[in-house]
Amino acid sequence: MSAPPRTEAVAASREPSARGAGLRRLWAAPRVRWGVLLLAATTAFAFLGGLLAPFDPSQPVGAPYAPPSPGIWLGTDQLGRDVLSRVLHGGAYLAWMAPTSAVLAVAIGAAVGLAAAYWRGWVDTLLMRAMDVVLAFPGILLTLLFVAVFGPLPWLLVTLVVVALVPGVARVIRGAALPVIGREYVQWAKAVGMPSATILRTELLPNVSSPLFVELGVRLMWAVGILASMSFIGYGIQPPAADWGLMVSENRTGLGIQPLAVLAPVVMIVVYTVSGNLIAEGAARVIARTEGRAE
Amino acid sequence: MSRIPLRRRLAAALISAGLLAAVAGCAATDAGASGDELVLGVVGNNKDEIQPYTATSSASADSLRQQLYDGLTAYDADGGVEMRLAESMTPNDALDVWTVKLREGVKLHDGSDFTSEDVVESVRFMLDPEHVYPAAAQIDFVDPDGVVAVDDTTVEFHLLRPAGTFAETWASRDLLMRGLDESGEVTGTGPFDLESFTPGQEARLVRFDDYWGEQPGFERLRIQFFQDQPAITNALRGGQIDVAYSVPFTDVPALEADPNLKTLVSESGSYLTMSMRVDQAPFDDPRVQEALKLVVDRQQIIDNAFGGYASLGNDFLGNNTDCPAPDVPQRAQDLERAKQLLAEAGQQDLQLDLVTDGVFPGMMETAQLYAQQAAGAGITVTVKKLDTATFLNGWGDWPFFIGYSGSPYVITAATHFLPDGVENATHFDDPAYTELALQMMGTVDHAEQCGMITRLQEIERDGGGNIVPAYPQSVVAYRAGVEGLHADLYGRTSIDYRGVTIEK
Amino acid sequence: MAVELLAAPAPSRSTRRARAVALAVAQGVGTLLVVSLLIFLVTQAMPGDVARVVLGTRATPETLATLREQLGLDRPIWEQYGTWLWGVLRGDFGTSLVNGMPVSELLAGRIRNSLTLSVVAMLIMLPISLLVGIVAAQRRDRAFDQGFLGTSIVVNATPEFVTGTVLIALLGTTVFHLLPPVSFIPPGDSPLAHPEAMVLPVLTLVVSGVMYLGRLVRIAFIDAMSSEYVQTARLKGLGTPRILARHALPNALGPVIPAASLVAAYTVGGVVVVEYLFAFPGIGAALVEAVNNRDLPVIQAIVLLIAATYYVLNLVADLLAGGEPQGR
Repeated sequence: MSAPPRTEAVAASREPSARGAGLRRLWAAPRVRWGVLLLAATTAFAFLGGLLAPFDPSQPVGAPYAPPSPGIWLGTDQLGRDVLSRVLHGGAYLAWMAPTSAVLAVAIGAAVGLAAAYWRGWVDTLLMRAMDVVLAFPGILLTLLFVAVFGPLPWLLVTLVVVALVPGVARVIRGAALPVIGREYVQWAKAVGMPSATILRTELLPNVSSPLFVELGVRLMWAVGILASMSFIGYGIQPPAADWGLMVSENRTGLGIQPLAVLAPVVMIVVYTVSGNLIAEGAARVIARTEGRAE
Repeated sequence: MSRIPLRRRLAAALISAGLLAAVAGCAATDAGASGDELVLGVVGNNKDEIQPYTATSSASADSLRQQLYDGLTAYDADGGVEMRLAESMTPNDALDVWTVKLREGVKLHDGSDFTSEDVVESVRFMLDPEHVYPAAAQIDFVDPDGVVAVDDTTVEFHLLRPAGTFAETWASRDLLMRGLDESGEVTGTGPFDLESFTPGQEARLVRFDDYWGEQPGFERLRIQFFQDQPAITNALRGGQIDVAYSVPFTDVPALEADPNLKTLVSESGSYLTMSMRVDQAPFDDPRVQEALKLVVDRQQIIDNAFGGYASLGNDFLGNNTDCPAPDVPQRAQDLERAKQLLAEAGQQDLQLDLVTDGVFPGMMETAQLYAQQAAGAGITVTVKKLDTATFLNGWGDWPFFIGYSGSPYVITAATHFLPDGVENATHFDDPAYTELALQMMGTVDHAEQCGMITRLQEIERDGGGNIVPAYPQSVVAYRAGVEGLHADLYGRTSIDYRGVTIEK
Repeated sequence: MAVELLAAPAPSRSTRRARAVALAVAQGVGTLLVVSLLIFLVTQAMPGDVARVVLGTRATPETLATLREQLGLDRPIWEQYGTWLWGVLRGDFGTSLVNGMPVSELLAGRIRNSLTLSVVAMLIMLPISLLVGIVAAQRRDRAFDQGFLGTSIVVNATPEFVTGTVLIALLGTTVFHLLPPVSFIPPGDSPLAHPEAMVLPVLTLVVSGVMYLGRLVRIAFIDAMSSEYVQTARLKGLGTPRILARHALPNALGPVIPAASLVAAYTVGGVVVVEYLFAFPGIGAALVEAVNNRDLPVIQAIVLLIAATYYVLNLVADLLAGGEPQGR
């Protein structure tokens, strides 16, 4: 719905050259480390920030769109509630929904992609065509339809984000796994009758761990964007909840008189998303370096 | 490693910059409406149609019909009734035959005369069940076969039952008169003639020079339909529209700070209610009803949901007549009393869902503030915002919801409070109220009517299912240079252009 | 898609390709059919119907029943779907349930508007992305490159509605009054006749698009420039412009083209937020309204259009990528 598919093309064109480009190597990349730290910090902020909030986030403390004043450091929002308290409370939904969506999407997408690459043939055709159907369905429509049927339940929103993200992951992982399957040791493992599940787990999965990590970062970034956009067009987290995306939507007409009510949640969304971006970037660099290439 | 030649990079940069500059240049000259044209911005919908008897009612359809058609009578700016296409309305003694004398010399847009035949055709069309016209319920006392054209300018209405509020009923904006031109196309008598209409996008209209009433002071009118309110505010600030149908209260400070814009505040007969089904537990217990009314901090709702542009509501549908308000004490927040009432009713742990589609300004805001205030008496209110279709699908069934009232009291009394009223979603059924309301509708004398309306409102306040926290005003924002808009109790401030002029 | 199918044994390259394209088209039609059926079923499950929406709070059981009968909503759902499908096969997308207008008439102008918006955005986005990406690759790790990477990390992390909201405040309403904050395009006019209405939506799409595509171009170029035969060409003394044009560009385009087409598909189908923000009269806005109105024929038409566009762009991208020398 909100973000364009970003790295399929690049990641799909790459092939890991060595077995087990492990997590340790990823962790050694500064960007990955910064990304993970930033993610941890924003997550902690999102979950624990509420404890530091000076006010009840739903309680009006002044006139609507009041400018900052002592005690109300970021001013008030369109209902006269404390912007600071709402920003401190406003990440809780995002901080569990976005990572959950990203992890689920990558897990499901990887399973689909690996299965398609390993078995090829009709399994491949069936799985990838199914992914096409999902991709061809405008994400926004899914959101509109399902939220209208079931209401804006958090688990439903997570499911919708996962559905929107899975096809992209599947395509990338399938692309990354195809060359690995052609390698001798995989063919050998097949030839000696090793169970498919074992081959998938011990031979294929380790070899696509770097692209998986890239995907995790990228999909996290998108999940944030999609969830925030859902809130923005009124189909995400509902008032009176404090939520960063919702805050932008609620207060945007006051941008001229009380810009902080919009800018504060925007900064938080951006910082949170940058963490995903850094992880993806760092992981992509590690892949490139493993392959002895320029980046 | 050498680079791309500087020349080429410069060229590319120049081309992109040039493109943007050219486009921005166009924008600067084209921005805003031009010439003798007024541009109105209103939230619109694909549902809208030009002909006046469609099932939907919306602000956008209303702003279009206000220009194209007239009614037999109309409400004036303060809630009284004035004659429009009718010159007089005279009942017989039994009040079941009304003779309507039409104004002479009224022209339809195709140049022909507006006659009694047009009235007969219009009324019969409205009443035909095949045409699914919901507003026909307002004139269910009219016998379609009893509407007779006596001569070119006289129509007799033979009614199914006596009606005292005949003239008031026809003042409803849903009961407009149309004509048919030679090819059978719908036409009207209004101050503007339609040039083009694209649902959900725009309508273009031209002044009708043979209009019988006061003329607008400008030649052309364009109605621009928007999908949501924020874009209207942006368009007004960007100089793209001259008048905004209405603006959210929270936008008013920003608009007032703009030297190019002006605002006009009017009292309004349209407002939201928080309504409960009084035929269902727990709301069938008067103690619970009263407790839910006592938790409201009305001043906070006025200040924070309506930006101060509202007056205190007292839990009856008021502010919609030219009759005096009942002399009853103002209900104020009393959390202790509310808790006590709930305890007596055995409902200390009340948990409620407050359902709304949030389409009118202030609905979501009021709901959120109310939830917060109710928590003070130990009531858990969860605000549920639904999309409009879902909300309407459960209309009549929701136990606790945000409703809306925008009609004059003589109509509201019938639709909202009589047991068979189409909009009686609180399932209110009070014999004393019903009897008095029917009596009121059978009365011609205005002063007598007023006395009864006041008593009806008292009954509502104490035993009705509506919480009316505030009567918001309506704020119309417009470009400086538009002159002559007048404050209107029924929300026509931005769409009544009689005597309005523009200076660009 | 088509690329995978090329692996099937077949006599010659061109025959194989033709067969692959035919198969892909057939699968595309199948996909659309599945999509339309899904939409139909899901819409049936949505609470409320057109009759409810149209009649509003003044609905009575009688008026609801009459309207449903008039609109054909009382027929069995398979019959409704069949009628609709039969119409589509003959090129008739039906009429809007809320106002009786033919869907084709209702959407023609909006389709043109959305298409123009996407095409203009792409036409501006692609060359700029190429330029920025190549320049950044050429000056790798220097100020321009670092600046571009830093900016893109932040911009890519910013949802489009935020970028758009900020642009409106900056250029339309609050800071400067240079550009109209709302995109009016009179029905019947080409959006190109109203360039001022296009600037802000296009700019919003371009800013996000360039930051994404530019990065892909940059990485692809760095890869291509360090590949063996580019190095060989350089050793042979070829000049940079020739190397760029002959070797690096075709190689770098390989991975970029599918990405660009995905961005294009996204720009066509996912401009909902941008259209919403600028009140741009396109199909995204129409889709949201149709869903709110439960106007099934309109929903179906728009979704099929978006799905078909997406599918075709994807197919073209696969063909192009398959046809480019990969060099690896």
